[in-house]
Amino acid sequence: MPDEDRTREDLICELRMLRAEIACLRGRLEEIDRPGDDRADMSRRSSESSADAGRPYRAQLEHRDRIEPSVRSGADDLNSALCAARAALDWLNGIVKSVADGLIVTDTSNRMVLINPAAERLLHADSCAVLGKPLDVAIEDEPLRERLKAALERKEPSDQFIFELPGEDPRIMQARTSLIHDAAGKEAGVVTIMTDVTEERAIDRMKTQFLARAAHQLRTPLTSIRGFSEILVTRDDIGEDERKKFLFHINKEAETLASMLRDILDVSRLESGLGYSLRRTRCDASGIVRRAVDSFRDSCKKHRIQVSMPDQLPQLLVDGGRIEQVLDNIIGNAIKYSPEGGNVRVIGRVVGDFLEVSVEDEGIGMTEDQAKRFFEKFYKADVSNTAPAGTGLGTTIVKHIVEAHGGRVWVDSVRGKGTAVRFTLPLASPKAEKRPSSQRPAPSRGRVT
Amino acid sequence: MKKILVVDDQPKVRELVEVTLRGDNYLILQAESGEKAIEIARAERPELIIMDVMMPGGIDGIEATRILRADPATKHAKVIMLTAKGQPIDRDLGLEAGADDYFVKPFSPLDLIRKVEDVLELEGSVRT
Repeated sequence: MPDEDRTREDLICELRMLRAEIACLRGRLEEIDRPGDDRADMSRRSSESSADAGRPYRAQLEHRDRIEPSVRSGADDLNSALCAARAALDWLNGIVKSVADGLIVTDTSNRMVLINPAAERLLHADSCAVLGKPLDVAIEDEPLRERLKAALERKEPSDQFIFELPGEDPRIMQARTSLIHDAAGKEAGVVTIMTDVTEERAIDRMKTQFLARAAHQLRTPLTSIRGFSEILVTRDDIGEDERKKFLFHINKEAETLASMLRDILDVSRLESGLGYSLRRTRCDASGIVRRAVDSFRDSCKKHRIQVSMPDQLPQLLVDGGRIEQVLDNIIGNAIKYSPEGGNVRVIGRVVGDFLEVSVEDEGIGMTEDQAKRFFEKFYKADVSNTAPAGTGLGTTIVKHIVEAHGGRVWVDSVRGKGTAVRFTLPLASPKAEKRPSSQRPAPSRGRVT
Repeated sequence: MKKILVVDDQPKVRELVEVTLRGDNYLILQAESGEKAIEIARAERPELIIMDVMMPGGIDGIEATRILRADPATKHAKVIMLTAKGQPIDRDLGLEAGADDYFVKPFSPLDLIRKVEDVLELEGSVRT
């Protein structure tokens, strides 16, 4: 049958071709077996090869056996390198995913090629939906989008800008863009890191307000010091009684100024992490309270300050000066924030191993939010021109001093009803209590941050 | 005698300004808040008001000045702001509210006397 003939012919043809290929391969194998021979001998060797066709094949096997270990070793090396590369990639991916800042990468066509989970959260974007998409689609926030495009157009190696992410809880973001270059130095895209700086900005704003406020507060005592001293120096119509009164004003205002500077330096030290030193000695709590209250009695006519301290109160091991500073501050606030006057009660009671002191007023009180932020650094509930004077540092210092002594401080307040600030101080230990005076511990210096 | 109303929540500052200006030429009145300043100004019609800006209560010095300027009974009174707020923006706010001059604490009593004399002389020349 013609089909069978054709098939047979095809097979014969294929066999011939295979034979020719085998001959050719033999020739090559022989050539491999004699690596020292030059190309001029190739044809001669090819004609002789048929005589001992098995020899080059064996040589090839031997050669294969020789090179196999090194090939295997190379393959193992390649495999290890691949595993290491995969591990490194996983490691880098892990870092990119874990980084708290938002990170996005765009290519030279302004398409999103990488977005980490933090950036997904910040931009309310889903990586599955935005990867590979143009920025116009991938990023909703227009100002950010345009700045990212501009970063590529300007070709500046890096840029930094602030933008606001609107929404229910608007965030202020700081973005840094950097141009990406490939191995050949060609621009490959832009990497952008976004950091939420909302809290930092709020603190900066409070610090700025504090500086302005502190400058105003310092001007008030300085006004009396400068004014009355100039009058005493330049005028000759001032009688002896007035002269004494003016000198008293100058002296009081210098004390106020020193106290304000102490507060500012205290906070400055706390801010820089240096802390401050406590000089703990055995103190009579009633004496500290009495001294603090007495300092207000003369100047405060609208308020009635009542003190209630338990009899037989155990002594405290505290820095007396610092605790007076705490009471000055709290009682001063109680008076300041009850402008219509009323009672200010200072109540002490022993609770376990602590003395708890409460300072209660009948003043304007605070909202829940104001009470929450009461001890916050630089925070002042009312920063208007009609607010009571103050730097906004006092309560922060109070908190630090009380906590440095191992106590705690908190505030209870009702808007329109009044405020109670309460704090605890540890009583001197019973062992120290029984110790004879000659063996009393020396004042200790504790560094507190 | 020309009436001068000194408005400041700090008694020592009011006393200092009073001592600074006391003499045969001026009658010094005092107010410790914006509200009190408006009340006294309407009743006493002072020629000059020396006004603090930051005062606890409902009305600060800026608002009090605006109110006095808008009131036909008090709008002719000269106003010198005497305040611890020393930033240029504070000065602009004070002048925009209607103050004739702006003086920053701490101040020199001698400078304040000169300033008061300048303002009141100008006031006198305008009226005549």
